[in-house]
Amino acid sequence: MTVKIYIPRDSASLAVGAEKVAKAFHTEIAARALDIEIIRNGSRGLFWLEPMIEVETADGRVAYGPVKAGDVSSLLDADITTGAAHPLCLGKTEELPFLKNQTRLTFARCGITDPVSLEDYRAHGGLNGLTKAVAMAPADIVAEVTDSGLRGRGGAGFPTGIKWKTVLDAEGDRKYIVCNADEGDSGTFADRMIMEGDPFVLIEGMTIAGIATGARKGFVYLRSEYPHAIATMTQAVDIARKAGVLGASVLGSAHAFDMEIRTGAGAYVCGEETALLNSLEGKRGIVRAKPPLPAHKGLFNCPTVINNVISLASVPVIMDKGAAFYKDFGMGRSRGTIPIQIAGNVKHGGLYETAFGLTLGEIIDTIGGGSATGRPVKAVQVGGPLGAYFPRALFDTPFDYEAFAARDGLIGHAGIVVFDDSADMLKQARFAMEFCAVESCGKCTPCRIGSTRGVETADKIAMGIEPEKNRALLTDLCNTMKFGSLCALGGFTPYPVMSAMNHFPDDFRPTPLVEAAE
Amino acid sequence: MFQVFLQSPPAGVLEERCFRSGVFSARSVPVFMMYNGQVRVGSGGLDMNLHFGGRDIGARTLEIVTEMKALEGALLPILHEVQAEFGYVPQEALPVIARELNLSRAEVHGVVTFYHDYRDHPTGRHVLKLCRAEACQSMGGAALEEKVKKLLGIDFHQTTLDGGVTLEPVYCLGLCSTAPAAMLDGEVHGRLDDAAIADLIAEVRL
Repeated sequence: MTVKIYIPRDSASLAVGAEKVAKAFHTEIAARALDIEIIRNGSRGLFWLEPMIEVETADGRVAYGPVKAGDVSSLLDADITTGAAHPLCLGKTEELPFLKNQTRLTFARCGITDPVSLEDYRAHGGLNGLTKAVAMAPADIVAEVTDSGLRGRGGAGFPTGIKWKTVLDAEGDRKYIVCNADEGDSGTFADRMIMEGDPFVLIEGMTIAGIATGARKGFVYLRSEYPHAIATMTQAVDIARKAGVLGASVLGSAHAFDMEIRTGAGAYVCGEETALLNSLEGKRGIVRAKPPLPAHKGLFNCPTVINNVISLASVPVIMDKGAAFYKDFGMGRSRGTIPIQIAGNVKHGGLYETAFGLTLGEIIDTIGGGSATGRPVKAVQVGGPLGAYFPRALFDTPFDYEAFAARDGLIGHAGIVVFDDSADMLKQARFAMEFCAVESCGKCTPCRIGSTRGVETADKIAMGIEPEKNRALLTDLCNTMKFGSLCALGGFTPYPVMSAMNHFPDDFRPTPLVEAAE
Repeated sequence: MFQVFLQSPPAGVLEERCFRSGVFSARSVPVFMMYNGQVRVGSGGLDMNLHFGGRDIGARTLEIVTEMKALEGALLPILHEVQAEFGYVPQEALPVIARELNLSRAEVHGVVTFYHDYRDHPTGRHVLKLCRAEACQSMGGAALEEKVKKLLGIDFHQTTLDGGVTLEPVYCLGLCSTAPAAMLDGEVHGRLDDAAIADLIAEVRL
């Protein structure tokens, strides 16, 4: 009987050598004339173990990792096709604590199926949500999504159902579904992983959004830094179209929906929804003033749903299992699950989907296992380059939109970057300003000019030039940017700067440079 | 200032139209020049990537635009295609695009210059993008950055004199759990340490 071996094609796995491992397997299998089929799956999200391969046995899948190309020969010698022991053997995949303790709803199939096999997708519960949706009235679909409590996973946390209802109720013969896949935040990779590991779930989610709001066309705005995701999504859309999931008659129903993959051009600010819409229209990615809301006047001035990848990819499971099932997970007003991305200087970095409510300390110390370097964790930045730096003293903060906001932080896209005690928080604050200066679209003054002045002021503090005065100036500047900027880029850059300054005041009091002796 | 050394210009290349050029270390007096469209002659003839002078940028751009202008919001996809064709977005392409899309040249220029991806000149034979974002910083990205700059002898947005490598910063490749990360000619590399980055650079400097 043919044995199946899974080798991930996720770009993080490729980055650490999965392609070489796959090649070595192909060569060895051919040389030994073994009856083994290689399947390129998405990643399970245990990145410290990548490249992690899995063997399908009668008892379930057995994992080995991290595998190097040079290990392949010894793995086959040990007869891993039966799940046999080997120094790299990790045991049954499902029993790995990092995976076992997760609640995988959105990422249920990621790493399990062949990403570009629609049959695999169906066999693992795919298209159940869409099958239900095509038979429902649009308003009922919207009600289901509203009842689930799903909030925008892109960072703003706006209730998805309410956004959809606004578009459903808006007049217009043309409406659009736009998927924001411009995942530019450092520390985040959930969008990339789902698009590379389970692209059909996003296609299904967007199609449901189309049926729910009366839109017949969708766009995925995917950043150019993700060439593998672009290739996988493009291939999946093609397959879905041929199979009648997309097109003039979605799953044989009277609904029409089709979509296109569009590539960004390296502008971080295009992750802001109105800048993204301008970019899709072929313009400079400059932020628009709101109102009008995109739901009323969005892409080409038409009513537009614009949602993050994970928001849309969470819709199929909600439609399949019901709003009540989804809503049952989570805490307070943060319902359902959130794929937390643990990154940076951390021992066990990866994707951890779980219900809202874990504390930051549990995530970093228990799940993440502390820093990769073994040094004490000094700070974590949650929510990308615009997110606040939290010190250990705030590690009791539960992962919840409101709890983070109450402590002057944000969940954002749920990426966490861990820093050990070698981090210089003044440098991190300066980088936040520098990044804002590089990426500012230039439309509003606080962001365009404030960011450059911020870099200069941080430099003065570092050089010990009137530190007292310059710290006050930086605080004042942050206030101006926070309240005076048009969008989150300028408006949120103060979060990392102020949090660094407030929680790590010692780093902002560098020893003044001693004048060199003549 | 660059100095132009033309050994024996490939057929079709007019020496006086070479606008940017460099000279280099190696044994064979390698010639690197950028001519009109895209002429790159590497040392020892490696990675020869020659687009000869007879080629008309305007005509090829027109073909691309004609094929793609029916797309909704066609400008970015067209610019991506033009860059894929020529290796950069040549000035000569802009009036053609503007005319066909019924835009002003200023509008097209504005879009091209807004986005980091679009280049106004060709790159070296290889493009190394090094991630500068926070997750990579937390794993020693800044030190790695210095190391790479030293090994290549260039700063970000520059090309080595032999035309071998262009170094560019990138803000997040989404490889934050396998940091620090880089992308070399579209291929991703993670968990980079001094040895791994030295290997990568040795590969492109062959």
